[in-house]
Amino acid sequence: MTALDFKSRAHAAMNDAKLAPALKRMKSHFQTGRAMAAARFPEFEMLRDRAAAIRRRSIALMPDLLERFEANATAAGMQVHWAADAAEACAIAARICRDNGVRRAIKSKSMATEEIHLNAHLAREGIEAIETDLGEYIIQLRGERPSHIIAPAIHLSKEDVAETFRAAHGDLPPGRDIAERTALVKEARVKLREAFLTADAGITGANMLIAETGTILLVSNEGNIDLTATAPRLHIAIAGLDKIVESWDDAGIVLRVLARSATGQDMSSYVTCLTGAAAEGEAGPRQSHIILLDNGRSAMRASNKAEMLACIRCGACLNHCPIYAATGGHAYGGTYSGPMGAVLTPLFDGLRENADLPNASTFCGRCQEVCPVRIPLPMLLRHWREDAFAAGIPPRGERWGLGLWRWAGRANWRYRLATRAASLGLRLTGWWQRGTIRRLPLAGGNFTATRDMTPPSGASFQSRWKGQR
Amino acid sequence: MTSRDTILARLRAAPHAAPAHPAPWRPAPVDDPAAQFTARLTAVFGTAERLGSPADIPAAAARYLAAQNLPLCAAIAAEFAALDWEKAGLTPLPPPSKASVSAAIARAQAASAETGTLLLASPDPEGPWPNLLADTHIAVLSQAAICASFEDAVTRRAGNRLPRSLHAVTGPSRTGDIEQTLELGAHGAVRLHVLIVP
Ligand code: SF4
Repeated sequence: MTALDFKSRAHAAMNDAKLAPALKRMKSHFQTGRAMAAARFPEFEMLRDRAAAIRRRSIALMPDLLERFEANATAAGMQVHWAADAAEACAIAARICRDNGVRRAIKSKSMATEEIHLNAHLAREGIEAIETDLGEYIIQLRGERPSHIIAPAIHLSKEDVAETFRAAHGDLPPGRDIAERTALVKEARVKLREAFLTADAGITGANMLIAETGTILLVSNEGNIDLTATAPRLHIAIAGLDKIVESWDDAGIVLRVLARSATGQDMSSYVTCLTGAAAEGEAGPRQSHIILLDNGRSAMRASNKAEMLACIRCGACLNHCPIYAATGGHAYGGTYSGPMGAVLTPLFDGLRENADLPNASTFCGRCQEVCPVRIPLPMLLRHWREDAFAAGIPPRGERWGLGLWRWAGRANWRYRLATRAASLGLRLTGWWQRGTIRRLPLAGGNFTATRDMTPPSGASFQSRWKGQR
Repeated sequence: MTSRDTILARLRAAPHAAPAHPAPWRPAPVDDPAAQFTARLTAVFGTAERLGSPADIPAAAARYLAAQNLPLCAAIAAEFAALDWEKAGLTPLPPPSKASVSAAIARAQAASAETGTLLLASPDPEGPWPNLLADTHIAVLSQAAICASFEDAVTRRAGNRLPRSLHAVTGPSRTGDIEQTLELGAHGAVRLHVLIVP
């Protein structure tokens, strides 16, 4: 991936005639859903404040809470592992599978396992991992990456899905009609049910780790997590360090803002709480493991982007972002997309390789407005822009331009002179082009390619400010 | 140094000031939890019926299956095996332990009125299977087991010794993964009907 790849990917996405209707549907569906859920729950804003405090407290107390989680989970019969990076997490998961003769594992959707590319690693070890979240299953069959954290196949139409199933399900009779969504869902249900009941292991992520009892809490709407974590004889969960919360009361508050922000539901259809391992005769696996994953999180916590660890992966910032709505998730080039992805991807995959991402924002602030835990996403993106500038990443022209701007701005007279000159220039261009500026050659032509601009009129802000005082 | 030590050391090397612990939150109590439970469940495509006595369970279950145009057979939890299923015209099937079944009838030990949520648990005689392996899940719920909130339901069911798994189920299984359009019955129960008994 080259440094400027976001631009070309975004460009391609915006010219993709099939993507636009999918993104439009996504936008209206998620935005209305959230707005309605918030409107029928008067305590929503108050609980957002509490959730924001809970998540920040969890970040602050992270080492102590993780140790508490470990002690309680171990006492309940779960095996706790720590992984410093993606390679170590994959190696631990593969070792557990090898030691227990696991050939086939079912998986529920987990962004942490996407982040560490677990499926590819297990495949190299000869272990098949089958995704069971419907959207994730579809993109796994297509060999794609998720384009939305909670709706991974949002970029596809039902025709695409039908085509995918036809190609992948060899036993599907050619005459069977799978044109409608209901038939597609049923086809996946039947196909995956068999996998649930025959797999050797289930692999999940985690939405929260509750320190006071050593409990893993997961949410889903399909019920696939419950099956994944309960039907096979072995369970492995992989969770970022950031998933930790102190208590059940905390988890309850986060749940209430999570479901409403993500899908406009009052409560996710399935909330699964896993503690320890199953006893003789009890439903569930006799062996359960959790891998606590750092992979850059401890470094993030020590940086000025620590607040990003408060993220509960609800997707609201994607659903309300004008850039995401235009480009979709794949343009971001990483596991995570949208505003939260623009903050996270440079961290996981390198700033130099993703230098465009912090600029993939109009700073309109909608993401921060809807974020249930009030993460100041635009500010975090600005920190990345500053880091990029300090590391000399932006092209020379841009850096010189900014340097010149800075130089002008540091003395009143220089700034006044510069703005006056610019204003005069724009007025003259407007007069020359008969009232409206249609071309602005000095701005590279791109700026006026899709819009016209009115020339400045009246007095400048500075002189009016002076007059007011 | 193990990765555990490295990670904890890295975290401890960057101390953060912790904000105060926010107060817990519970919904305000309601007069009729069963009515609220039913209303919330109905809003998420489940259904519920209040029965006068547990003896009415077979007839109510048969009525529900017939109304859905489904075959009159179901896996019956041992607890209800002695009820008169024959009179209701319902054929009992073996309970769903790791095999799919068309319909299953079993008790849910706790519920939350706040969101119309049932709480199933791994040590229950049928575990979570009636919901996860049956197309139609008919749950029997005592009115007294309907708590005000999710947290209260967990406390009622588990006390301070948590079972291996708790499954809070709100309505039938659903997905919006194809074209953002709601479809019921992705992996868990396609239909969820609750019989509330005194
Ligand atoms: S940053 Fe906020 S809005 Fe975006 S996914 Fe995370 S919690 Fe949700």
